[in-house]
Amino acid sequence: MAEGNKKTMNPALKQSIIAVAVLVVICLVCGLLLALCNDLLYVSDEVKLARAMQKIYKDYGNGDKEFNEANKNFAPVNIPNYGTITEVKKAEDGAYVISAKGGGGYKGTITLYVVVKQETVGGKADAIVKAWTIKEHDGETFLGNITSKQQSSWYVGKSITGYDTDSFALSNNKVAGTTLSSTAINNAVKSACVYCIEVLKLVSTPESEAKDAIIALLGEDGNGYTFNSVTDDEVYAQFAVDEQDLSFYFEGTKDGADSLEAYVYGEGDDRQIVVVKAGLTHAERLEADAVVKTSENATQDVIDKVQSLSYFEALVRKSHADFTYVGMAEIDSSFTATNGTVNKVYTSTDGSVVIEATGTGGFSGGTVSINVVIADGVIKGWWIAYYDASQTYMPTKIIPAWNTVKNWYVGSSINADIVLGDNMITDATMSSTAINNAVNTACKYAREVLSDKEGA
Amino acid sequence: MKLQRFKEIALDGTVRQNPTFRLVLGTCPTLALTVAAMSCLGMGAAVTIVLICSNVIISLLRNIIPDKVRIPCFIVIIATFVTLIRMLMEAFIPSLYDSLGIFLPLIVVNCIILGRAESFASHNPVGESALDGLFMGLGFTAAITLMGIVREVLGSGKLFGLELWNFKIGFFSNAAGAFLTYGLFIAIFNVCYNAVERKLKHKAAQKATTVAEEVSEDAPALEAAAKEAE
Repeated sequence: MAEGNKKTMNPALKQSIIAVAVLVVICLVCGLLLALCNDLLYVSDEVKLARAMQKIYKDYGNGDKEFNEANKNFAPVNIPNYGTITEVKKAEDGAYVISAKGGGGYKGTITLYVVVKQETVGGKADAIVKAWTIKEHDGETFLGNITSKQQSSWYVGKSITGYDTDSFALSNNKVAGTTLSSTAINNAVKSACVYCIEVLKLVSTPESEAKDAIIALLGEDGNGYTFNSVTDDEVYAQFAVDEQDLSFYFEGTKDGADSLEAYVYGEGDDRQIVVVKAGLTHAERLEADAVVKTSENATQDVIDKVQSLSYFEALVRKSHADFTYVGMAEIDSSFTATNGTVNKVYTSTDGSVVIEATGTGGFSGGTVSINVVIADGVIKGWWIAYYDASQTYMPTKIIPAWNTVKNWYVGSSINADIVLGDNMITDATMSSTAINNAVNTACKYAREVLSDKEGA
Repeated sequence: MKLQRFKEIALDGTVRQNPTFRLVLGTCPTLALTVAAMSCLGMGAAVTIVLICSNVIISLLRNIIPDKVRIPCFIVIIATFVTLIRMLMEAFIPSLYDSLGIFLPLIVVNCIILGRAESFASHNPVGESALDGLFMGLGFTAAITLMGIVREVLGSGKLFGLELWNFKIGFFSNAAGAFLTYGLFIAIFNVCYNAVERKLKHKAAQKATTVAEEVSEDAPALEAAAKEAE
């Protein structure tokens, strides 16, 4: 064996190892230094909040320590249609600071601090928006256009009970060129208002009182249910009984349980409530076991009315008066459409149908789902069921123009595809396309699959 | 360190190699933050501190960091100091922290800092590197603050947040105005710099000619003195 037959490391490999080792050591040292400094210089959320409040609401002081400590591990609360409440704090003067995240922004969501305080206005207890400021956002590029001027004028000084009125409407609280960010802010403020009304109960509205009455009526059976109000004046008018109008209609949902429908007539001590199971056919609804609960003062006329007409039927009857729900048809799995899918088919005694279809081609590749009422080969009416969160132009362009949009397609034959043509809103072409595709998908299904049914 | 070297470094950082007007580095914060002069001072101070600290450390480690990984090492070091500055600002100067916003963490990728680390600190001793960081930072601060003053006065009628008058030219507050102001400053600075440099060169050339003439006049006497010495 040759002398000095020692194995020596490849010089290139040695250099590489040294290079990596030096880099790792530098990273470790820097990391340790940063970890140490983070502990020393950490700014707590309470301090950040106090700083933010100093700019907009000096009465916050250092906050109500007892309340804030008790609510440290706040579980986010979802507010349907508006946003999420992520945090609740209390100021030294008793005002609530709600951290509300609103969707529909340019890139995503905007989270605000909204300060709401109970006050007596005109001898009546009320809750007022005192101030708001932006806490964080998902990179809303145009947020710089919303300045302290807007922060001191939008919503400030207004009662939270008016959250669904003109004073809180987006049209009155937006900056040109920053509509989407304004929408997210609007949704966040409304989330805070709804939370203050329904959870913190800072002030009651007829709707919140009605909801509380339903929950009280149901007792343990109502545990876990979320009730959301749906308002449509034309639908409500169909439920009038002996000159008494329907005051509120709520849809109650709960995971793992049957959905409910709650109909409320009158208010205060005269309030009559009828709660029925949701999703029943017309015939099933007339059965006694369809009614879940009624208030003691509910008259037989009111109960009969609610049993004989569901909200869904009344909604369809706005377009087609003869619709009487008999059940859902099975979807033909062999049906295909290029730009959409059929989700549900509701059938009626007179052969008309309501088809829920989803159309593709929306903004950012998203979809829009609609319900179409078809009778005698003609579209009688339609409405928007739901849409992807990516469809940011739906709430800002399509829905505000609903008085015009709802007339699209009405009276059109289902026997040929309908072109986009005039059925379009400027700046919402893709959303309009998705709607058009959904309608055409429903029509195609009606003519190819349901063509043997009378009236479709 | 000799005075001459000190002067050289100082002049390079503030004038000859001014990062904003001569090297045109760090354009992102220059265009974005020069809307308000106070933000410029804050950004300038942050950049200066990061420059000094990173130059010192990189200079200290210049013989240890292998060439293959020098850029990642420089970036880790720079990022550490930027993060420290962020933490300090957030804890003690929250108003400045809020006004600098996203541009504070973007100092990590500011070409001035990486550029000086690569071209100066990694080849020079600690003292000189620290001075280079200081004067480069001062040059940057002065440049953006000057721009900030002009844009703030013309664009919003204020100076360091204090209202001067009601007159505003909105153009100077937006991006187009930023580019125009920057371009004008670069042009004016370079015209002045070139003029001064020409003058200095002319002076130096004149001086050299005078010395040469004096030497040639004295040449015979010097030759005779040299022969005598032999």
